[in-house]
Amino acid sequence: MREKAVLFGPERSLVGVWTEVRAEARASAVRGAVPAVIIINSGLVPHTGIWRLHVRLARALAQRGFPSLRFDLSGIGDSGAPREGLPLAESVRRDIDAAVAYARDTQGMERIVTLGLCSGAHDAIEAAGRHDDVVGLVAIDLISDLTIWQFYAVHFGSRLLKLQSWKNTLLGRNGRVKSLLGMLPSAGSPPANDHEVQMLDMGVRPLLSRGELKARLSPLAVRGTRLLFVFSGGLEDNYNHRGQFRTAMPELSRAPELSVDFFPDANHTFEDAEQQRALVARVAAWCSEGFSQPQG
Amino acid sequence: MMPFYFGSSGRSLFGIYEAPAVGAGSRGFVICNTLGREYYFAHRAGRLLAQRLAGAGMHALRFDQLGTGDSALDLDDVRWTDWVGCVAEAVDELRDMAGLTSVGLIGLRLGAEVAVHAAASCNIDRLVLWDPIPDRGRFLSTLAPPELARCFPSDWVSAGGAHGPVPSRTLLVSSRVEAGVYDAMVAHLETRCAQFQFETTSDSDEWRSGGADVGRLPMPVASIEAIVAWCRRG
Repeated sequence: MREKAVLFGPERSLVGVWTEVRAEARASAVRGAVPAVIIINSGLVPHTGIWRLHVRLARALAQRGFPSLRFDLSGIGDSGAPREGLPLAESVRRDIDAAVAYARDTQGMERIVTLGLCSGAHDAIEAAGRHDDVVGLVAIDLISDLTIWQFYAVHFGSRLLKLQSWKNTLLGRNGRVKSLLGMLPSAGSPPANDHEVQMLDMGVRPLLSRGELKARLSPLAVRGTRLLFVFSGGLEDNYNHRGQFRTAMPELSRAPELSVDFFPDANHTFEDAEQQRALVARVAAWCSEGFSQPQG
Repeated sequence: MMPFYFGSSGRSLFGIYEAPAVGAGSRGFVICNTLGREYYFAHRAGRLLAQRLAGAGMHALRFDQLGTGDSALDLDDVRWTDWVGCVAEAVDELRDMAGLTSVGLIGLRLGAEVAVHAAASCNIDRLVLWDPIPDRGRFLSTLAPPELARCFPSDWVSAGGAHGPVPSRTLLVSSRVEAGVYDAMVAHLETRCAQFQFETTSDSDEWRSGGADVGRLPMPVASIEAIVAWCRRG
């Protein structure tokens, strides 16, 4: 494995780390047999990922023969400021497209997997829809409206047993999902200009309704994109049992390329080292299961 | 801006070098970032500081310590003495790449602790301690993962109490508002640094501990301006 610091994008303002695979695996990678994994920021967390999640993912993937690019969107981590006046969604779109172009044109990769946690999951889905060469999508703790009656059954069933939750309800503390370290980006606000920076401001992504999510995922399923959705116990106000995704998305539940995992003991940032190790192992294994065989 | 890896194989360090925006620059600074939870919040402030130094005609190199960020290894594999050695490597790297004879250190929070200890073994001419940690035990128990706490020995001496050589030109910048937090540290450094300076600024600590608003993080512009102004003075 070798890691290379890279600058890319039209203005070479995006900073990332390209993780190369072992020499013997490199040949099959550039033949298109295996995809490169594009790892997208979570909120305002730099490209290392929260608790180095992205670094460990990249290194574990490289061990299994998958190169990756972890990088910072404009305005986050080490990358330059977004173009002034450019809406956030458009800025994110351009940056991820530049990352895909880097993997394809500079590194010769023909197939891509997009991966992200929280807001990164949202961005990974949007990118997968734009690029036909995205053959896999890993969405970790996507915050969307997946609440169904089974969710409420589990939600209130467990809370009836907890005195603290009654206290929280009475005190008004049972809000929606807490954002990643209070840093979940959102759609509306214009990005900051670094030259006059007083406040790093990246806004918040819109919450996808079930219909919107279905509209984005169905075409991916039709074209055979492999999908891995992972949810943590940290989304307890949004997701609380293993089968919730499949029940909420019946149209996708039988898609052969869909995998769903639930880590009930992990928090939203996979802060616990054991939980993070399990997540990294799961993602690496999922890539190996589906992408290691050379195509035709 | 130039991101790159340096150091020995298997122990490579991720760094980002900023060249002076004006002139050739005869002065450079290595920025030692904080660690633990604060690393994620303070990262952009470190970038802004490096850019402002470069904008004022100085070289700047910020880097990730071993076992952190994009650098090699994991926290389980390193101890604080490794980090002191990494600072020395970064100082040498900046000297070589920029052709400098004069290099200083800027340590942010836990990075200030490491910078003070590194100052004893590196030939540096200036030292900036930015919001050093007055209570290391509390920091490690509340703001750091257990692996980070294990990197420090129980008899670790904090920035203000270190007894090794400290440059006579030393600046302590604080954006803390609590009175008296740094009294002991200031008194200690005043006796050891002929040109010691202590500055307080009006920045809130949200830039390193997280903002109250989702998706927004205030930048410590006043502290950065104070540091850059001090660094460029003769």
